[in-house]
Amino acid sequence: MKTVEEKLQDVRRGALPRVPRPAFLLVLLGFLCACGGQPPPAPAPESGHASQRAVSLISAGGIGQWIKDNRGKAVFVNLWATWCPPCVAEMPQLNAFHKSMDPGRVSLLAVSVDDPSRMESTVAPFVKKHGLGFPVRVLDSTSPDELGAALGIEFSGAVPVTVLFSPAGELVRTWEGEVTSETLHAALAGVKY
Amino acid sequence: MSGKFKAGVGVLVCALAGGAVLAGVLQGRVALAAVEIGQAVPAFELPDVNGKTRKLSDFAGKIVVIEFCSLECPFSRGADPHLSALAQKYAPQGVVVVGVDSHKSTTPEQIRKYAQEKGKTYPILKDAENKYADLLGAKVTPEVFVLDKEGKLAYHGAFDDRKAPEEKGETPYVENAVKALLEGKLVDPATVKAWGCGIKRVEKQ
Repeated sequence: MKTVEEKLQDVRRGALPRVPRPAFLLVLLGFLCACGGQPPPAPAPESGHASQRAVSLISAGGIGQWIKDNRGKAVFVNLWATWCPPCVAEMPQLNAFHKSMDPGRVSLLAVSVDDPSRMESTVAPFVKKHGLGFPVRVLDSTSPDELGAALGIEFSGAVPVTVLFSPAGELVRTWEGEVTSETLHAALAGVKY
Repeated sequence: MSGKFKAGVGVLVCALAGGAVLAGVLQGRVALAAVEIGQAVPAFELPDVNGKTRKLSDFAGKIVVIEFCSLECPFSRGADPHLSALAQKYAPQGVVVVGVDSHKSTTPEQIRKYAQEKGKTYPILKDAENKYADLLGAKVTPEVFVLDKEGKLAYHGAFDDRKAPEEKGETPYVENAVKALLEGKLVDPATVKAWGCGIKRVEKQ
């Protein structure tokens, strides 16, 4: 039996299980659907300001689903990594924003593009250390293209990036580089509910 | 099932099941690159960190690897030893590596000190006001442009497929591109989007 990490490495390498052709096609279809915008297991919509949350994996399509699950709210999606100094620097700002926002009208999701195999060893301790109160997921894919397509943005692969979606799920704007709590609050002022 | 056939099946299924996603991917790539594969890469005339002016035409007839780099970015620093190794390994075959630092926040002095500490021997150019990065459409560090001997863009994107800054990737995209050019083969893939840090640009008026 392969460990989760080995399976992840297989996926990263592009290696797929050796199975008979029809089954192979089904597996491939399932895999493509999982990363192609179809609903993967939906993460729980945000509720309140729980101080600690478990970090889990999310697919690019899963982010789209998360935005759908939060219809009626303005949605901020922050793309970051523990290896990215400006991302680390902006975390206190995101925390401050999260503490001061109205969770009934706004949600915030942080998606780490760290190596998914480092979720437990690196990302989870980071979330704990910095006391991040908002949901944090780790992207299970290694493709910036897939991520950009799922969010409907021109994503260069450079982090941090923060994206704002309207309560109707439409792309409002994208910030490349660090944001502040103040910037995000100011952007909210222009959002139509 | 042969590897080729598998790949064929994969492409077919992709076309059927992931058409919309793929279309988005292709559009994104085209829109981001200011220079397309096969096009002549705009010339540069930039000072290296020792103050010497370097021109793209200095390397005429060579395969040129241009890397947008940043000493502030762990992903870029992680690629440095491998770029140095690549520069040494392929220098006898007419391959040149050039680093370009377009960050507004780094000075030539800082870059020179860093390069000395890390034993980087290839030239690193200071692109003040990120003008050359703008010209090429570079956004990330590390982001690599490989030019064929005629100065046309043969590869653009990630150095390798690493997912963590300090781990060497399994697929060395840039080295594969260099090898393909030396052997007169098609560079495939010719573009791979890079993970990394954004180039810190000057504010536009």
